Amino acid sequence: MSMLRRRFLKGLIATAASFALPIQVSFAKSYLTIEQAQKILWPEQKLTPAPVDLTEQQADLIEDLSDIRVRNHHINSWRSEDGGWFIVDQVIGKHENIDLAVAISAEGKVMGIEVLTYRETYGDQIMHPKWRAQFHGKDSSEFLKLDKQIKNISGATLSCRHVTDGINRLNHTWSSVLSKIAL
Amino acid sequence: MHQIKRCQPLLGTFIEISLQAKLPEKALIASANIAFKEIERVQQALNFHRKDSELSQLNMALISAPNTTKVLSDDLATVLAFAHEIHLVSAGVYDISIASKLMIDKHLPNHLDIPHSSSAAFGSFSDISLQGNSICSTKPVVFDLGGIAKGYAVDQAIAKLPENISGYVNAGGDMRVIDWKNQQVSIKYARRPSALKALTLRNTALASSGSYYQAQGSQYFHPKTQRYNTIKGCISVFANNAMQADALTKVIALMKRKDAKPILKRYGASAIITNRFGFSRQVN
Repeated sequence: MSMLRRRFLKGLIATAASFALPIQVSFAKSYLTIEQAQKILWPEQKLTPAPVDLTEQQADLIEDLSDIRVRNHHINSWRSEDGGWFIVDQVIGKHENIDLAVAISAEGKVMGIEVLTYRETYGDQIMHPKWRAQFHGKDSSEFLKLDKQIKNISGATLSCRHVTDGINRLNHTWSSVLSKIAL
Repeated sequence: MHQIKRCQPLLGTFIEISLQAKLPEKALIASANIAFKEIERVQQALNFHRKDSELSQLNMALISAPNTTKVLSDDLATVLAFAHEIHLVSAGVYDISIASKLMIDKHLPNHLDIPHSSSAAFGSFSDISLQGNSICSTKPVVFDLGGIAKGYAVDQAIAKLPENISGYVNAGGDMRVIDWKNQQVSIKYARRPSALKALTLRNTALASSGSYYQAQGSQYFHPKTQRYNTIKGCISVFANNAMQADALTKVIALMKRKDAKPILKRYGASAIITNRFGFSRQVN
């Protein structure tokens, strides 16, 4: 009887432990490279790197206007010959973590949005240092090797609300900062 | 052989288009652009969430003046006619007019400002008379085309692609694969990222439905019992087109197996239900 109980307890502990372990299994889907997205969003335009660093005040202003947190003060941006912008941005949602490429015209109109990579996140994964490290690097390809690459997935509909919020934040970034930068 | 894989946020979700052919990459990009444009066009007509869509205009008209006859575009007329057909076939269980209830229960945004006390004032799909491109109703109603609009968008986008291109279009669970034979697709059956199960395709269209992404819980509202049905796991339907596949996931979610089977058969469809532990069973 006591052996049975011990075996049961052992099993119980093993099961509990498997839930408690921070298992970093995730999947990622990559679509376009930055270069491909540039060609699609700004065809026949030469793009020049034009990164921007937001000041604390600018970030606060964008946060107030868009009502969305500005996580990264560094804007990974390129400029087209006619004054338009190509921005690579990251959006962190409840279930997902997405790299986006956005084209904004010289007049501030969003010309196109392409998802570059999509990573499914789970629970406290976002808080994990390795997970966060990628937000400071320009190239996420190294990180991607850790993820499982999945070809085709069919599942419940995932809302793109966080991307919409991210675009709203970039719109306000353009109107309060980027539009004031001379070509 | 070139391949291109793109993803854009449209129809309130993520639209993936993957194309491959013995064509230069430029040609694949151009074809993907045409397919995305087509989805954008369908979104402009059928999106519930946009106030300026044709569907929202129709909803507003069906609330304020249900009795007057309204003229529909071909897109909206096609999707509503199909919704009506499934409504009849499922004995009223499939009903896209539950949108008013979903809005009052905050599962859908109430951007049409319908009063919260008014659920009894709304009619159902049986109050509708739909003839060709014209519609009128005896009671106020609100439609949410939800999944079938996505399915329709996928079907329309696929139809725009040239014949020598292979690949797939995937819109938040509604998928069409061009060369589907012997291809596998991973089904996501629970929230955790590792909850994926590989299934072999049985038809060109596959729709999956589940509520694991929904923080507020189930959205499968049964109009007869006036209750939300809970689905733990994922329902996947293989059919001839994505619009049918999507509608049939809801039929399976809401109806008894034995009542749902003849409906699947009628459309030449089959289904697989995967529970939250990843065990699948077949319905057909």
